[in-house]
Amino acid sequence: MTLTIMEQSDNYIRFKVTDITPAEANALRRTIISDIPKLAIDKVTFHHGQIRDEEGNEYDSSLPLFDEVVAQRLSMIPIKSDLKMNFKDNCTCGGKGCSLCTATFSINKLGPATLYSGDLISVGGTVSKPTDAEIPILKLGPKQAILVSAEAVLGTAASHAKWQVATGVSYKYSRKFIVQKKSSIDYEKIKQQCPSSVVSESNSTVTFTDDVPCHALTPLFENKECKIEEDSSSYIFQFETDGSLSALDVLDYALKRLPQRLNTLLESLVDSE
Amino acid sequence: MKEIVNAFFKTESIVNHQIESFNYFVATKNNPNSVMQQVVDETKVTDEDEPGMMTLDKTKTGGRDIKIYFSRKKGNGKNQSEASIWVERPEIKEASGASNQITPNEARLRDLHYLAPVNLKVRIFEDGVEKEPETIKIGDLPVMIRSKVCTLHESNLDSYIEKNSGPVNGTRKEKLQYVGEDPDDAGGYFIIGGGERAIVSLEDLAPNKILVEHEEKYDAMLEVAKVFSQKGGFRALTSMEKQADGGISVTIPSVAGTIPLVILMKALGLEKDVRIHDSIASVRGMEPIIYSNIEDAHDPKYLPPSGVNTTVDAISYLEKRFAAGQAKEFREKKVSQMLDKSLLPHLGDMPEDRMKKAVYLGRMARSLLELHLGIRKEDDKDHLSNKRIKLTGDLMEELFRAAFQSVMKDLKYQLERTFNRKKGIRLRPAIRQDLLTQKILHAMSTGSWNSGRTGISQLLDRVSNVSTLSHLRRIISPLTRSQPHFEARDLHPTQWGRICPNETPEGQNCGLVKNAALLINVTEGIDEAPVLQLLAANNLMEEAEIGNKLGRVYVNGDFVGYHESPANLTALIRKERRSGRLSSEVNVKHDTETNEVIINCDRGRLRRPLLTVKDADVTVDKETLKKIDSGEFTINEAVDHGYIEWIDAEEEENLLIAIYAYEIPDKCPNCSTYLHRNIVGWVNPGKTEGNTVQIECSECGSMFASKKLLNKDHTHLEIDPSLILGVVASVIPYPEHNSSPRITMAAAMTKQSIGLYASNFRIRSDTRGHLLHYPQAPLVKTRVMDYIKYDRKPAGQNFVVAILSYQGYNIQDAIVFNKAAIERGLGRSSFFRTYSAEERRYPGGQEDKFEIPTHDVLGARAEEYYKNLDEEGIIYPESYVQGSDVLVGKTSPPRFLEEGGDKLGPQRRRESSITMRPNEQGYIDNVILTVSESNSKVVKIKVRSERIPELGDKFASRHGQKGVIGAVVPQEDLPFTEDGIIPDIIINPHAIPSRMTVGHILEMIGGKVASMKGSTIDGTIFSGEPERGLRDGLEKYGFRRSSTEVMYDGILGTKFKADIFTGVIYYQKLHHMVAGKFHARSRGPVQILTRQPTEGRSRQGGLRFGEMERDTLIAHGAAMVIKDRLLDQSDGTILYICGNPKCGHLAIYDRRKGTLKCPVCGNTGNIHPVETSYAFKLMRDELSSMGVMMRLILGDLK
Repeated sequence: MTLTIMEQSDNYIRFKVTDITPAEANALRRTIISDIPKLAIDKVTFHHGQIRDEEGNEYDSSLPLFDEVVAQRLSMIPIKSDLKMNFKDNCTCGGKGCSLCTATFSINKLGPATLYSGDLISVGGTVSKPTDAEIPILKLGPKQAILVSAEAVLGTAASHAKWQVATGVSYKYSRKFIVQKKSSIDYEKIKQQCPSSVVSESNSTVTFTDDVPCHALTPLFENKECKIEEDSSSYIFQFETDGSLSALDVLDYALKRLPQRLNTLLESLVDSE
Repeated sequence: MKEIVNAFFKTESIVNHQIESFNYFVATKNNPNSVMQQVVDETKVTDEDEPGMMTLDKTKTGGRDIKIYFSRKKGNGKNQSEASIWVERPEIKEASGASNQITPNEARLRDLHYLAPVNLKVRIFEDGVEKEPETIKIGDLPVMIRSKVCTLHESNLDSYIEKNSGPVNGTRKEKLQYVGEDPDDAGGYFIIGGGERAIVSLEDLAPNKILVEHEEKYDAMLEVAKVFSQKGGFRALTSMEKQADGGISVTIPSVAGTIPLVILMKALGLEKDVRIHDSIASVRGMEPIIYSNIEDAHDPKYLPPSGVNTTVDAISYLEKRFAAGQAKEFREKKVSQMLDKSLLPHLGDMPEDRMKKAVYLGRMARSLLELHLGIRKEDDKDHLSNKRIKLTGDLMEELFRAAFQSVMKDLKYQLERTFNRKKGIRLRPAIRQDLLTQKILHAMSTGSWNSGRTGISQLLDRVSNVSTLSHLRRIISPLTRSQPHFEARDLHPTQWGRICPNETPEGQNCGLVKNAALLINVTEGIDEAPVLQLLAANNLMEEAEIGNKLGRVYVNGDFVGYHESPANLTALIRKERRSGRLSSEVNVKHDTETNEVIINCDRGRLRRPLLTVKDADVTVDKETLKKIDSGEFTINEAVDHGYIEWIDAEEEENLLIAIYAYEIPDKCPNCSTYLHRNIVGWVNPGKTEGNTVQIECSECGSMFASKKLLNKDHTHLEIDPSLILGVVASVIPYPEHNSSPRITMAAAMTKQSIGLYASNFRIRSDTRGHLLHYPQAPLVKTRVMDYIKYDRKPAGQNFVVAILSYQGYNIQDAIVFNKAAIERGLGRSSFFRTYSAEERRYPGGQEDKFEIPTHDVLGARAEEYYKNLDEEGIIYPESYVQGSDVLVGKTSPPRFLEEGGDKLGPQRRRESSITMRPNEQGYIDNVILTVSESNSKVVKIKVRSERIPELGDKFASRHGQKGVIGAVVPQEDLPFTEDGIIPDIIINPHAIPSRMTVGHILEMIGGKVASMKGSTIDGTIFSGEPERGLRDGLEKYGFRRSSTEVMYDGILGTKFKADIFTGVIYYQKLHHMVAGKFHARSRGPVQILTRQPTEGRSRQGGLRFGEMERDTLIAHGAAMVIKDRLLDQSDGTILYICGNPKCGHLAIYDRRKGTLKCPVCGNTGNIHPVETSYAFKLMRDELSSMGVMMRLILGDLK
């Protein structure tokens, strides 16, 4: 099995894995989707009643959105995550919540204003912040204010989508589009539109791969004159992250996590004997 | 012609017909000709008084002649301008005595009626001397929201805001928000007791119109002519039939049997046989029948010795027949009652109107004979020209007429009763205001009108915004739903453009409950006089010989004369109307078959707008259209100039209407985009030359010529064919690609979809309400959505959909949902329920009290039940509540005060707290404290609960494709595309082919293109983006033309062999959710009377083990299971039966002594327990109450 990274940025990665079975490819995909930990807000405590500013002006704590909607919105905000943190259940604090497993935020905003993700202020030991400070959460009207404390913990997307790091996770079989030069397909046009790395030419045929996504190849799927060869042992993966972790970290974690899980399975099989 | 439609909806509300109708009805000072005023002018207090006044009984006023006029002053035989009745602004009289103007939202929140006082100006003449006129309040009238008397009406709102120191300089929107109103709310409904009620329009057979048809009677086909004669509130059916022997007879309402036509005509004063003949005959062919009828009247069998010859003869025949053996005076009264009141009341109720009636009967007979001879065709009862729509104004008129009459009658009685010689009459204390108010309110709050019809006013549907609009545009037919009435249910060609062809319920009301098309107008009715004047000035002839070739002219169903050139007359009337000299309410038809000119200007005709066409071109030009678009030129002005005409179903029969003015090429010759009607504009309307028109592609702005479809024969052009649909069906994209039943189903389901129903939902107190958390504007929209502001009140979300089967979890229309999508907020909604409590006052000074009940209160719960309540007994906002938790602690005074006061010690107050429904939970959203009309404290508590999509919740697309959630699957298990797209839902491919919802497929493609393009796709019926354009779009954004994609199995990781069709489509969450329906019971409450388990989820009832279920157990021989279900788990009881073979009565168990004793025979030993159902004991007890003794004689098993 070899893994070749084809394209990579902070939040996006495309790579090729060869010599694996569909089941193995899928196991990697499923791990990337649902078994990468990240921080997400899991508990929100709202202050109800009057809220006062420094000058003693009174504000109302009833919000234009329902509390449960605000809480859901807060939970979806991606937070820069530190994989050295513990899962709350397995933490040394015994699940009570400490700086090793819990990041605490507070929100204190007076209306009229728009509440953004950047208004989440980290309190306590670990300093975390949302990946993007400009996600709008809520519009406060005049005389409205929000006073909230929120706790973010590590989790995985298996239990809730708010802990999902990677999005658009997919793979495809490596495939070749073989076009006979004497066919009616306008291969020259496709050649112009696609990067040269995907084109290889022989005397009678032009062969394209879709390793690099190219729209010009799409019509070939529906063209009977084009022969498509697929290799179910070679895969091109791609995914992006919400910024809480870098794409490479996710891949790295997933590749380590996968054998761990398989070991867990194996151990449980051995134990039962 | 979108300029015209835009202009319509810019100036007028979508429920304008309702508001306009009410405005026309309601009396104000500046509208002295209102319907209310007309009713007042017409009201007769007694039979002797002339309309609009009353004369007090001289014997009760000490011989003084007192006349009270309440109608307008009359001069020159015409009503004078000043109104005698008018309605003020809505107000409430507080318990303190102060009157305050109120806003609709205040009425909603405080459970008030939204009423405005009605004032009447009364003129009193005492012995011929006029006194100072008095203005008295005669009662209150419910006010339609957004009508001209409503607080929200333009200037009314401004003055209200000024009075209440609101944002005087704000925009209208800000002002509406200030008074707690949704700025986009259409109005058109009433508020009764805090609840919004809509008055649904009624479709009725046209009154005062002769309808001829064949009817099967006594095994023979007879010709029948019918007239629903209507005058004021009175309605009477007169019918005439021609028997097989040729005899023509008339049926008069409230008179038994039939009367020969000729005798009736003679009784009415048409004495001479020649004149009878002349009034009937039109062609020679009918003469034998007429002669035989006339001859027949001379038969002595009717009146010996020589038959009926004169009017006197005829009347004595009628007297003999209908009042035989009674006093002469009474006989005369009976016959005059019959002829003047019951027969054809619309022609008058005075003896001098009799001749008119005789002539009218002659005309009926003529139509009847023309039908018999085949000159005339049977009238089509379902033709819209034979129907009239009764809107709010007409229905309110009925109520007001009856209520006003009884108020005035009561006033007369009170004045006579309380008349005091010295003080004279005193009006103010004599009037009973509540009589008018209560009569109207009772009808409005129950929906049952005087005429005995029910369901006229209905609770306004607030499920979603479109359902509200649809409700206000509903038209119901009074035909009974149980009878088949197949023809009445069918779609009729005349409904084109007037009534939505698709929006109707399925099942028993199918085709009877209808909805108005998008652009309609219902005539208010105008005075006939200008029409008659016009006719008189244009050679109308009163009389003509028999067998002439002249055309007959009718106005509102009444024959007015002959004209030698009906075609020219028709053209003339149209010309006058188009020039604005004749009211646009007038419609005219020239019936070429019977050579008749039919002119209508009465009330309730359903009309639609059309562009007029002259010489193969429209009359309106581009400049005018621009002016219409900018609002410089109103629609009414365009109508007065004859550019647009309102056409009723009658006139439409004469017209040749072009659907399109020009052809459009497939592609734009310049930019080669696929063209559709919505992106093509007509450059030179009104100025075309030859056979081409100049059109413009709005995509690239290029102009080119295209073939004209209008020709010299066309009289009109359709404004836009998409206007044939109603509000709800217009929301569906690409409906022309669907099978029609699916559109009907989609329309029904759209009305159940939840979304943003009103923008003021936080300050509303609907007893039940749903709110979608993230409503989205659809990606594939229709142009009509702009007019109804659907984007501002959406009810659905755009879902990513894949069509394939998934592990059997989407069999039979189930839908597989993506769990991650749900967690991100897909399909989330909130459910609200408002509980309300009032500190009611009881007779005797006792009242309820909001408090935490103490231990000494009867039935008080444990303290923890009241822990969320504040010291006033009301729950804190945002506290979590669930099943049977107390929301308001309340105590009530003891029930029976007098009963045994000293025996049981001091009476204890009862606990009467308001609790949550047993199977609901949620957070307290809002607590509203206010006072009721009687100044007692009212608290309204709104509970909100989050509804996250779960197994069994119902969703539907806009194509009648409904389904329930069959599985919620983790995202990694779902199939994915090579781009990493995981669908939100998976629907089953079997849902498509047999149902032929191609629109569903097109919308999926359209949504896919729109989401890549970043702008919406137009899916308007007949004129939306064509399929070719969508497929090109797919290709442009890197998809396949087939919209299929390679997908991989999320569980196995392998590629699917088939390519999967995917797309983005608008899905609606319907309000049928499992959370509001699921129910189970093991033990629970029983009914007091029968001791059987209660019924229904709200009462924690049992699930019925019915007869068929019982049958299965009998078949199995499972006797013990039957006993368990029917006895042990139901109403099984142990009875102690006296074993004395001569007794067999019920024994009594003495609990203190622990002994059994038969109270009848005194037996204490031989008593046995017997297990029976309680229902059996109940029967025994009921029989014994009737004196029948049931003895149970026990014996051993053999």
